[in-house]
Amino acid sequence: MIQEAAVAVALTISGSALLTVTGRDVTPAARCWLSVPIGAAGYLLMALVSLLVLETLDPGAVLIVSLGVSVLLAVVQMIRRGIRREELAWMLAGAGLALITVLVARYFHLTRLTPDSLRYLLASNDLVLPGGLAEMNRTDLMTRQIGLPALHSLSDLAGRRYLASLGPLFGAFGFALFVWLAVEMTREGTNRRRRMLLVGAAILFLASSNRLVYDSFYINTHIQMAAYVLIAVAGAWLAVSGRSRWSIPAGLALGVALLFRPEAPLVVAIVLVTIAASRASLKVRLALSLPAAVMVGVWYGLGLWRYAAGGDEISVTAPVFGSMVAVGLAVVLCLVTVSSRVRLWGRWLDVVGLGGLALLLLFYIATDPVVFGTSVEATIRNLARDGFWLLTWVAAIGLLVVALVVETIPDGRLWTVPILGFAILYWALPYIREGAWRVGAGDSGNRILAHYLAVTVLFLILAAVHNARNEAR
Amino acid sequence: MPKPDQPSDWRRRLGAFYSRFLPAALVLAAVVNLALTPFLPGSGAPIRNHEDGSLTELAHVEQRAVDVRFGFYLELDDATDGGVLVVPAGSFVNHELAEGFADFEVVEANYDPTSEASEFGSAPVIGLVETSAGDLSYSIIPGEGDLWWLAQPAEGHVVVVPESVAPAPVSP
Repeated sequence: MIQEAAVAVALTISGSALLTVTGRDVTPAARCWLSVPIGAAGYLLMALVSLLVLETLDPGAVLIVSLGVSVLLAVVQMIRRGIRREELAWMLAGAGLALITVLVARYFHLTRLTPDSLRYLLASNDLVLPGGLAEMNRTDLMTRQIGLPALHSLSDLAGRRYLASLGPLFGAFGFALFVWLAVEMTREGTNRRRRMLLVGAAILFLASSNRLVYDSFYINTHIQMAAYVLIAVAGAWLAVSGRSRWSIPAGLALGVALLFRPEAPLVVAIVLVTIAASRASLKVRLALSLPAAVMVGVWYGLGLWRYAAGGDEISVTAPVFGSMVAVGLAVVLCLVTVSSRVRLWGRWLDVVGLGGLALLLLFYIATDPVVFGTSVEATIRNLARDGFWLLTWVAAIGLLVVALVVETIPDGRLWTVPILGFAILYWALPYIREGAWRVGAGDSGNRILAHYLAVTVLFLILAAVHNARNEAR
Repeated sequence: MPKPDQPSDWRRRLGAFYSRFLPAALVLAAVVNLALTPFLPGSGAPIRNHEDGSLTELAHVEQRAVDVRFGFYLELDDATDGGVLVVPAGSFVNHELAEGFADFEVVEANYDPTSEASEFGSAPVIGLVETSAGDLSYSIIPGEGDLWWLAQPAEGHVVVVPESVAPAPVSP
């Protein structure tokens, strides 16, 4: 248990240290809650380099290098501007929470395994072998990617086959980040009593969501993806709204999400096209888009292209090539539209992109309505009963429809377009992955709903706060 | 990005209603969620995994064309007709195929290896999975028992045993 605790603390310290480059824009408290996902992102970047250059993964060495680089960055920051006691205190608080999470996770043994989990864990064993990526199943390489396996490879250091605390760490820190964002984003909107009521209700709602809690203990990529989507969307909005250095964690989240899910390039493209249409500065655009550009170039271009089954197929519908085109195009649009010449039409790019996605979905439905019909039926049954979401999505979707109509959030399209984009993507994915969504808590469609829940709930309360503010005027 | 226009009257009224109603709606949904959670199958009583956090260790009993990889996952290259895979109590056996898949079936669901019973625990239920020719891959998920059983291996068996107790490879 000591080794597992050390891994968790190392990830936390690494994330907090890396985030010192964000200066005052990302407060020490926010850095604390971001530390696990960002520390994991730093580790994964190094792991990717190791797998491509050295063709194997030594998890201990990679963890030490990523921790070393982050601490070095923090030392440079300390020399330049000193360190405040508050920063140190929050860093230690993060390490403390990580320790407690490991203790609780190990003591209660709540880890859930399914056949999917075992494929991820098999891959985590493959990556540490000589020729790591070549050892991994070529189909799994595309469908399961290396993000989760590379993180679970750290269990080697603890002499175990998986890290029971990995999911709980993302769950606990992701939830704490949600609470911080909810408190922070509603700070200026309404009176204290009403704000507490709103934030408290949102926290209770999220905490009562059965599948999201389950995903914190389930060995799969869902809780990680939920954390990174939350950081990307909320961070992009904060960066555009004046706290520009939030673009650093948001950009890292977008980049590293590409290592977790096969559909992540489309999620990333949706967010980047939304940023392209925003009033974001060039610096913000660069910080948000470059990690994704580098990651898609390195991972998809050098890794999956070579090792994944059918990875070198050149077609827009091919998983590797198509993903590279989607992210590459989104990055170019994100950077080009900062120019004043194209700003005028660029500001509607997100709406055009959303329309294009909707048209693509309509085309799919027209060509094969049965898949859509089956997916609709399965989704309704999953949301109502069989997916174990209880009232979570029934309530969230009803409230979301109203919130989309009444929202007056400044730069609100940074919320509404991704949420609508994710919704359209949800219906398009059965066609892209060639199989309708099915009934049951274990179906992929039912599971991926967890990725977007925290973002949706945060949008719901933001919409309420800004309406209340308008009302007060 | 353009600022939204001033909301129309109906939007303003709906927005005000939404802002007032939202906390109550979220709390109501959360209370129902919490009240119903104990009734969800499997949600109230998580499956306990292995006591020592390990998965399993596989040892193959005989040497014919069986490639054992890692504890919890095995691949059988050119599995022989009639080969038997012994899996632990409550295991879920998932097969995924490469080429030349041949079907498999559970041939005995309550095999009790009595000689080890006193040493490793009680009430074992061992499933036997019969393999046939073809390349097979199995992933095996532990059931609810903490201890895994060392079956009496027979010719052609692949034995799944806990890492902590397995002398690997196991001889017949």
